[in-house]
Amino acid sequence: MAAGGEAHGPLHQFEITRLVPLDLGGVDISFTNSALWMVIIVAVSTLFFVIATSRAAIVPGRLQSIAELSYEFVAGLLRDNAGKEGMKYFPFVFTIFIFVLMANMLGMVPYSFTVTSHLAVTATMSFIIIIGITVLGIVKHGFGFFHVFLPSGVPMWLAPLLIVIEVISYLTRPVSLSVRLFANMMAGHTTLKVFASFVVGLGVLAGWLPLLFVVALTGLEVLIAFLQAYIFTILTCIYLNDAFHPHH
Amino acid sequence: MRQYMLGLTLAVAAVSPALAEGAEKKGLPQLRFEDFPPQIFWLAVTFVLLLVLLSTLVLPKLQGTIEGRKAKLEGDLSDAVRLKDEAAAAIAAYEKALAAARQRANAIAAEAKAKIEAAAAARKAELEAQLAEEAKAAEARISATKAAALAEVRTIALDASRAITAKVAGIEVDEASAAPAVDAALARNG
Repeated sequence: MAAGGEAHGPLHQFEITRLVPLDLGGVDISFTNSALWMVIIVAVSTLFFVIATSRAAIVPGRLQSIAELSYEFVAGLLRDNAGKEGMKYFPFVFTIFIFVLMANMLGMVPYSFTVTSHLAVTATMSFIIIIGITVLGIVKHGFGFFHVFLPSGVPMWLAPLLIVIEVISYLTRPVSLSVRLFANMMAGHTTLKVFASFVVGLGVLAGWLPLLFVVALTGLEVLIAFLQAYIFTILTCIYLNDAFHPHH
Repeated sequence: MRQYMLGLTLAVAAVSPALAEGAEKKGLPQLRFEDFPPQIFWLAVTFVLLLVLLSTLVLPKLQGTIEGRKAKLEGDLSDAVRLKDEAAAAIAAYEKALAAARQRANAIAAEAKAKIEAAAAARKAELEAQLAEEAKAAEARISATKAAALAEVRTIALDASRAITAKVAGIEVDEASAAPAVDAALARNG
């Protein structure tokens, strides 16, 4: 991972480098390595799905099976957690799942950049999801949406305490959603880099031990890459459910 | 556990400047806020692009394929059920026809048997009647012969009694006067 033969610290892989400096009305919108990998994510996902669905056979082949599996996986998540009304937002939830999954998985490719290891990306997604769901809930239920903060059947004297707790928990949703994803991705990649540097540091004699560890960790990281995409998606579905059914 | 790992690595990065070395800027790259706007801008662009691409090129086709398969499966299953019902109906009709044919065969056999039996019974009755008639005729003949013989016995007895009377008593008895005595004797002896 030491690009160009240079030795770098474990955090170097998260550096943002501006490939094409751009400016829009005083706002820095440079095309960075992160943006490059976002474009790669879009290209790879679109290419994969277009090729996988090109034949549309009754008996699916391998690629078509993967495409249908991912479709039914996300559809199942959404239907189970947000009900039938939630299916209207299926394309959005599916895109979230594919984007995060692809970002996590492509991040496992050596020398690549993990888009989701940056707070800016995960926080933007989380805040847009939570704010969007809140707006949707208020549009659908008006003041009734605020039942989210007070489950029915709670004694009135508990209400002040409970509302405070529920409001805090609601407000921390985007924070936990974004920090969970970025911290997992960052920690995994940093750990991999630290152990990989041990391989070089310990040399031919003892370097095998951390190398084995790196191999095992890579397997774990692939699992976590999927798992975090899954968690991000299922939480989106669960939060979306609040917009449709604010009465617990 | 991952939180501890993150903490550990961050601590390592913080306390050993040797690891976060060289031309790299200090601090966590994730917390450099001047890098936020370009990331957010390109995230918005690429995410919307992916959303549009997936929901126009991929999702309708995938949904169509999956629903088409489901419809085909359900259609095939209902076809199979229908064919199975039809086969069961055909088997039932065949068995019904077989039972009817068997019944008809039995009826024909029974009819033939009854006809034969009736014919045999009629023939038997005819024969019996014939035999009975013949027996009756024979009996009539026998009784006529017997009557004739009995009449002859009277004549013989009459003649014999007149002859005996003439020989023993020397009296010539005419036929008319001898007759009552002979008849009485005959009636006594049966």
